[in-house]
Amino acid sequence: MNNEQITAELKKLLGNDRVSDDEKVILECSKDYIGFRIFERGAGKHFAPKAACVVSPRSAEEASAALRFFNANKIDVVPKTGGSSVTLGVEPIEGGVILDGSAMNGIVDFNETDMWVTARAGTPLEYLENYLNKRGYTTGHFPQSLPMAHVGGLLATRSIGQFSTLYGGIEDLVVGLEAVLADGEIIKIKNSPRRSVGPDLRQIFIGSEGTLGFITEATLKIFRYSPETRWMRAYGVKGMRNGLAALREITVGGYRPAVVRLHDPTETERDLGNLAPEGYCILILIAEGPSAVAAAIGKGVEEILKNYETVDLGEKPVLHWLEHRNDVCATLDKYKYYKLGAIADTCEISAPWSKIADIYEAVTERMPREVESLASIAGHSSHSYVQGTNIYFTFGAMADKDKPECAREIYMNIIRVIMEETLARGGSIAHHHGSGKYRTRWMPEEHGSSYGLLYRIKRALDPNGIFNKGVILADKE
Amino acid sequence: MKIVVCFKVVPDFEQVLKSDWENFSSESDLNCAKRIINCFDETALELALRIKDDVEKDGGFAECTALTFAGELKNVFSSALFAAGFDRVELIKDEGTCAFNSLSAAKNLAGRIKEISPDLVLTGKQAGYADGGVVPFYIAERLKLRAIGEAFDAGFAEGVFFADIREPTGGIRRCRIDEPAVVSVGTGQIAGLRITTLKKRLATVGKNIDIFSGATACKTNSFSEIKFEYKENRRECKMLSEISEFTEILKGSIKR
Ligand SMILES: Cc1cc2nc3c(=O)[nH]c(=O)nc-3n(C[C@H](O)[C@H](O)[C@H](O)COP(=O)(O)OP(=O)(O)OC[C@H]3O[C@@H](n4cnc5c(N)ncnc54)[C@H](O)[C@@H]3O)c2cc1C
Repeated sequence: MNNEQITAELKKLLGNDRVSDDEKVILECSKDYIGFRIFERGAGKHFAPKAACVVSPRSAEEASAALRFFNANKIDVVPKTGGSSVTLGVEPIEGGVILDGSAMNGIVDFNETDMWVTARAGTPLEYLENYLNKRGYTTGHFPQSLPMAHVGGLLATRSIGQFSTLYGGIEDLVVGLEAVLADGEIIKIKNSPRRSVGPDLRQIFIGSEGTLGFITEATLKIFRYSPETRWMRAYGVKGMRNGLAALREITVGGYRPAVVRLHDPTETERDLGNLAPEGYCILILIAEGPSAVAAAIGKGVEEILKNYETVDLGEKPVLHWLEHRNDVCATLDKYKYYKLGAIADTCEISAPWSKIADIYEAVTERMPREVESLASIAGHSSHSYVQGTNIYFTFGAMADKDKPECAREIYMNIIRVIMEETLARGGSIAHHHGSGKYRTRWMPEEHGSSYGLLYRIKRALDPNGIFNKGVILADKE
Repeated sequence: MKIVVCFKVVPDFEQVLKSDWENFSSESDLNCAKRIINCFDETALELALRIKDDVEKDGGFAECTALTFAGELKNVFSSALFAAGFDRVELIKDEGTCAFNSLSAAKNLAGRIKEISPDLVLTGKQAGYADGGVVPFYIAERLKLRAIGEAFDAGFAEGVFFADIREPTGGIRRCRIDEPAVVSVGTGQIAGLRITTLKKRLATVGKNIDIFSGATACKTNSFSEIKFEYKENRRECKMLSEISEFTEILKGSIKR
């Protein structure tokens, strides 16, 4: 079927207003925020493959009808909701279809007794959070992309928020969900506080990045919202290795601040004002919950930090971070770095405590040697667990503004160094952005002997392979 | 040929807490805000380097000095300036609390500029909110040099410097600069100071900034007379291409 036929058939099936083959709409829906694509768009170039059309169902039933059609005709489909992907995850397959869930939005159920809220896949997280805040609740989920991301995408990418050390990632927050399979079957996984009835089927879809089904609705936990009882403090901590050891002691010691962020000396000097002495990191901490709990966490953490060459910087740097933490979202389409001839982005990995400092040092030492046009490499830890933490590398490299087609190679060279060093030292190559299409080639090594199982699940749920080709799974097994 | 650029590292005013704006005073602690080279100064710094490139392409020689008054200059800025191509980076230490005193800043900067005796002085038009944009003119006055305001571009062509300026009436004009002058740079055509590779910046280790003592301590702070008001993005240094009316004017009149 050619593009025109696909579009015409879909219009017949769902109505003209549900299908668009307008070039502008297709371009907008194909926009991924991976660093090299932003650079290319800065130069006015759109190298993403071109979809035949964008389909915007209003209900699970409409999504089901569309998927039955795609499946019967073996048409490639890429789901999308908020479009804040940074992994090429929302880029279409040439001649395929974008299944845009953003028209399926709104809150379906708000349940204060059972402490959950059910929202449709296209509900913007910021809308949901504001809705809950007004009623004294929160999702506890604050990714930096809060102003951009939607419920469906958050589940699909296994996303995480800045307050995760207390609330966990999205996988800890989903109570139940609804999804449509490749053959159009609508399945609902019911809401339950916990159950022992076989494997947890929610987890098939959480983190599946649109390869196994189209998520249409989710029920999320809610928590009482009391920002006024927060304990907040910032510290200067000498050196990254020492800082990571301090983070370990905080989490292993049984403390659960909501926010635990350790910015390395480069980020501290470059981005965080005139606060810490040279060579120091900045550690940002927030504990929340009932005031006695928040205060007790604060007291315990203060005691621990006395053993780690720290300088108390007070509360103000935390207020500062809170106020400006998501500013970047408003600047993404302004091409600030392109104008300066630079590609800038981030890449997140995780590792056990015994390995994380080695990975951080290996990457930051190797990168300047290997990437000729590197302008900066730095990092921070922002999500900690009893077993380990993540590092969120932040990097920039120079690229020729007149040759935007070269940006990808420079970018992938940087990613390669991070992936190789992480794998070689026993870390995991994606902490929360997902694989997308750009990390797929390292997935076999990441998963080892369990990688084949992913193909088996894929074959069972999507035998025609219509969903999100090239994401997580390489084309050939 | 010598070029001096006056610049200042300032808090990024877009990053100052809203609550700080509401109670702004000379005592306000802005230490949490990210430090940046003031955006007008960044444009002036980049213009100087482009002139240097042009002069050197012509077979000439240009020496660029980046000069700042008061405060500290962190390594992150000095290494970026050296790597970008500045031959010297100089800091005049503040002897008192002169940070917001335009006269004192001009006096100290002019003193050092006189010693260097450059062919061209570039400055950003305004360092911060407390600065009324008068420093470049005070400098010119003290040095008895011609002052050129509201430049958005500057360069070197056919053996002379030039500056393209915005007229108050909305037009634009090119000024030939055939004797030393002070050019105050406003919203520019370029995005900012060039980015350099980490390798280049690491290679500047060992290049030190030159530190001078300020000539006079200021007794009063003109700051107390200033009233502040916060407006988002007020100081965003826009690319000229984003400002449609200038684009139209430019299309018609500049052939470079
Ligand atoms: C500035 C910025 C900051 C960010 N910060 C964070 C952060 O702090 N934490 C974090 O985890 N991530 C972060 N991200 C990444 C991104 O925001 C997350 O991955 C987010 O979860 C994506 O949600 P979305 O609705 O925008 O999804 P989209 O971009 O629309 O899609 C993302 C992926 O999910 C699939 N998908 C989308 N909707 C569905 C659906 N309904 N059913 C099945 N599959 C679907 C898509 O095919 C794609 O593979 C950031 C991104 C940006 C640009």
